[in-house]
Amino acid sequence: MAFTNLPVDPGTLPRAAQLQLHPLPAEHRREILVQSLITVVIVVLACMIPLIIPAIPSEVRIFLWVFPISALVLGVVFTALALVRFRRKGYALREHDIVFRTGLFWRKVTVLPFDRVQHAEVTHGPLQRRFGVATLKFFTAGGSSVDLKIEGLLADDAERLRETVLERAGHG
Amino acid sequence: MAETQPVEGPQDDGWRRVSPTALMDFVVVMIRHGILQALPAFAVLAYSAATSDKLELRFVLGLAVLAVLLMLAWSLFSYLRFGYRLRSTRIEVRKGVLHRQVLDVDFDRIQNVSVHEPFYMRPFGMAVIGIDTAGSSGKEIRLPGIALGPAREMRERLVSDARSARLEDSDAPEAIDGQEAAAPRGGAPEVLLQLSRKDVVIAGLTANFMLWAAIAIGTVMGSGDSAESMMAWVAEWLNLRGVAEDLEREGGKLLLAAAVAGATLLALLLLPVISVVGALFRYDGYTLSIDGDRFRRASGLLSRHDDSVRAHKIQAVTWKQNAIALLFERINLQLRQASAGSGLESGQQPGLADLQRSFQVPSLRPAEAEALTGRFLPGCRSDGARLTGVDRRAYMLVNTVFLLGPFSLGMIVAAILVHAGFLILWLVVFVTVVLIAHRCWRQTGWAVAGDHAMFRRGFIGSNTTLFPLFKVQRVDLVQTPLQARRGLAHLTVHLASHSMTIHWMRFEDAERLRDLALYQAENSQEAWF
Repeated sequence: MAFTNLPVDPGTLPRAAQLQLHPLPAEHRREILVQSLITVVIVVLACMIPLIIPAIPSEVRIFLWVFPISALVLGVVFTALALVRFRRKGYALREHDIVFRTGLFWRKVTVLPFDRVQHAEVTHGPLQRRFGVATLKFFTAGGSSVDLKIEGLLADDAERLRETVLERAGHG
Repeated sequence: MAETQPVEGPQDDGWRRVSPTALMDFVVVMIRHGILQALPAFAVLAYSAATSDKLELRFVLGLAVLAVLLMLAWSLFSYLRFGYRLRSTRIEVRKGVLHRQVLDVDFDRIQNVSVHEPFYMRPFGMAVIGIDTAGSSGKEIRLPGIALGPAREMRERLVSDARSARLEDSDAPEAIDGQEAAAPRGGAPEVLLQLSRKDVVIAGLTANFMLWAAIAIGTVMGSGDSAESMMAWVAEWLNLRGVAEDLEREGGKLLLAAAVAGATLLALLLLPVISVVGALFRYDGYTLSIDGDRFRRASGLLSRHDDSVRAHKIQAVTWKQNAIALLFERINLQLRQASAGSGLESGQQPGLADLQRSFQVPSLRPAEAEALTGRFLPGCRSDGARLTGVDRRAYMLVNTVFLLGPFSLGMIVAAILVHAGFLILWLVVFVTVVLIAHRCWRQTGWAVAGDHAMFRRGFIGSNTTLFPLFKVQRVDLVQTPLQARRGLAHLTVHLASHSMTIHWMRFEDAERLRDLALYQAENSQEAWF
């Protein structure tokens, strides 16, 4: 096959920025909420352990309330941030690649050509199974770490996405 | 020769044994991995045994003899167990004494095959074949004790089998491979570069001193892993502390200071010498040639290294020019390949192991570097490219504020509480940091020339990476809200060999570069891996 190298007008290149991204499903938001709730409850309870130690005088014990309260406040803040981050996440498929946007302060848009995908996997955590969502991971030849990880896709969507991408990558 | 005879047995199952010289290689590998690590401890033990009367020297020596015997026995068992078998589409290697394993590598997973002649095998005409495999769990397979001729033949076979295996099962690289097969092959390899002694000496001088020192020792021992323990052992052996105490007793503090200064100066003078000696060991008789679609490099004084890399496996070419290289107007060139065979498996100083195995073309004049880059990356023209810088304000602000912020606070507090002189110190450091940051900013840039991109960073010297845009694996564009307001972004390009980030590019440029790279990656029919 002859190698061609035609000039490309930069203005006519397909632009990844002008894409309508699919948001993640509401199930993922519920999962985030429940996950946060569980974590916050555990941490707050752990912070309350000093309160029940009888050896500590009651005047000091009042000040110990600082720990569970600040844990609670932090938990609420982190949950709120996670929810905002959830709203910013989105993915899209193009003819030759998959686009994923994430990040609250460091807004990151990753584009991964199908051709470069070496393998893909779908994982379901225990909580994720409860909400029918899954995590989709793509790996390229670039290294051992995950190249693209989309958490909280509906399990069916994740499976379908994986198959579509692998099919177009030529892995059948 | 022994290595061509099948293992004796009632049925010939194809397993082949290697020559008994491999025993030596097993011993060396073991020394490299275990014994040298334990050597400092042993030296301490021996020293305390010699000085105190509780521990007897005889006992310690007996222990050492026992250890050596155990090691030899272990090597013998390793040798007896070791075997390899060539199948139609894969190679199997059987090894391990207690933890027995059979490694099974498909030819199409083979990235690279090297033939290495360590100094302890060279007199016997024997070599070690190293097989680099692809994949994240990749590691090098060593086949020690193969006669040089058969080793070269085997490399040819492994590499060409790797090619045909690829031809059968995939169609994308077929085009390019077919083209190569049509090209004249089997002709005499064309020599691209030969380094003279002078070039090698300059290579030694321009390389990183400390790394070279480590490699100089490492080359003799067979690996760089042990360099650090060697240093500790040498210090122990010289009994530096004892010498210092003696000096102080004899001539007071002044003499001690003079001796320390003298020793430091000597060490500083010695480092380039060690570095040059290291380079001579590693790069003596450096020859770079091209044979069909493969670049081949052979070098080495005591141990000969013979590596090759296939043209389409090259992911990027990096030009490294540090301050000393700038002085000599030389460039050290490095080929970046997608080799997962870094030292991660052994867990020991992967950086150094990488450096030893990586494909370096040292000590090039700018014109040579230019010409060779054109051979490594066909169609890459780096001369006409004009670099675009990054946003100065953001670069300077972030790089200086994070450095100077805490420092300034401390200095101001010190100036108020202790002495106003700290303000002068603060000013000096401030100006220095700003100047350094400014210089680094000036060295940072990127360019697109045809189908290739060029990223550069540096301080006094520079580090320039050229890569074909279609080799891109993945592109990330990162932007903070503040950057969005100023129209800036970070662009990270992931290649199969490594990743590179340009910080504070103009957002439109970053987007355009990303779209161009993706366009190339998705439309190119060329083999990228």
